[in-house]
Amino acid sequence: MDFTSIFMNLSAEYPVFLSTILYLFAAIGVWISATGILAIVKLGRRDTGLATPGSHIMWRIIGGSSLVDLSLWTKAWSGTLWANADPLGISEYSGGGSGVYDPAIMAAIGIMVLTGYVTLGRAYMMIAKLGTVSVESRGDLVGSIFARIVAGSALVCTVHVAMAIQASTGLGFFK
Amino acid sequence: MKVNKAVGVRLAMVAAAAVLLTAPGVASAAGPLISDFMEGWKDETKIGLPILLLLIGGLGVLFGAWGIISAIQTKKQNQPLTWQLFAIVGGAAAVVGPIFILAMSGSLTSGQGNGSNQFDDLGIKY
Repeated sequence: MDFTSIFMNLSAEYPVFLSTILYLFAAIGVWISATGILAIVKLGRRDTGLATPGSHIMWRIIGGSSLVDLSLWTKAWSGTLWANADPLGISEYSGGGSGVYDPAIMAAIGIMVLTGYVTLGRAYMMIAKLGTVSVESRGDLVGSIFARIVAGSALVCTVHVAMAIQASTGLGFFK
Repeated sequence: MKVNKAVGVRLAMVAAAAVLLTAPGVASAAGPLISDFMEGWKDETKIGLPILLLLIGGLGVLFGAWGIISAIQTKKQNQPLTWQLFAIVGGAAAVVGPIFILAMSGSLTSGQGNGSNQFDDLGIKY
């Protein structure tokens, strides 16, 4: 028993991890949008002090319903930002499935890919918060949303980005 | 509260150490896997989320009914309606919430997402 086999054992569970992450984010998204729709009732209250209750509802529904389709959004962002229209499926990382790199390295990268999905999900949860923050702090929130989107999609495309750097610099980092 | 900042990191480190230390034992003993926990979370979510949505729908019915009754009373007293219309509209929308969410996710992804599959997995009727 060494670390290589530990990582290989763990990587066999990645598909379940990813589907659970997507599932739980979808559940959170449904909850966020459903409470957002119920907040239409609050539009009639004039004493809340909330400046823009309409945009509060709109952002909750947009963010929450995007979480339901998180895997598609991940593909869209990695296609837009990293020119990677079809990121590797999570099964490519488990048990040395694809054979791009050494199986243990792929297993280690797989953890980063899972982290990328969580980061993107957090970004969409923050989009749902856009309507409730004050106008001054909205810019900060938008900044951290985009930082999370860029970082999360880069983590999902780790192998792709590494290959691109290797191809443009000519340095053989990985093989 | 300087101490609290590092608590999450320390917890993660302790958890990672525990996982690494126990991994050889678990792997050979064929006990429960982490993925078994996760399947359990999924099962719980599948039971809990439809009930929560049902409660939200029930709240919507309450608000809608309250709004209608209040609107009739207010009109009888020749007062202008204030919050009642929003309560009626919002309450009705909350009852059919899942369809709204599905329609919105369909519109945002121009119908290419698998929102309805995800809804089936979550056990939500729409």
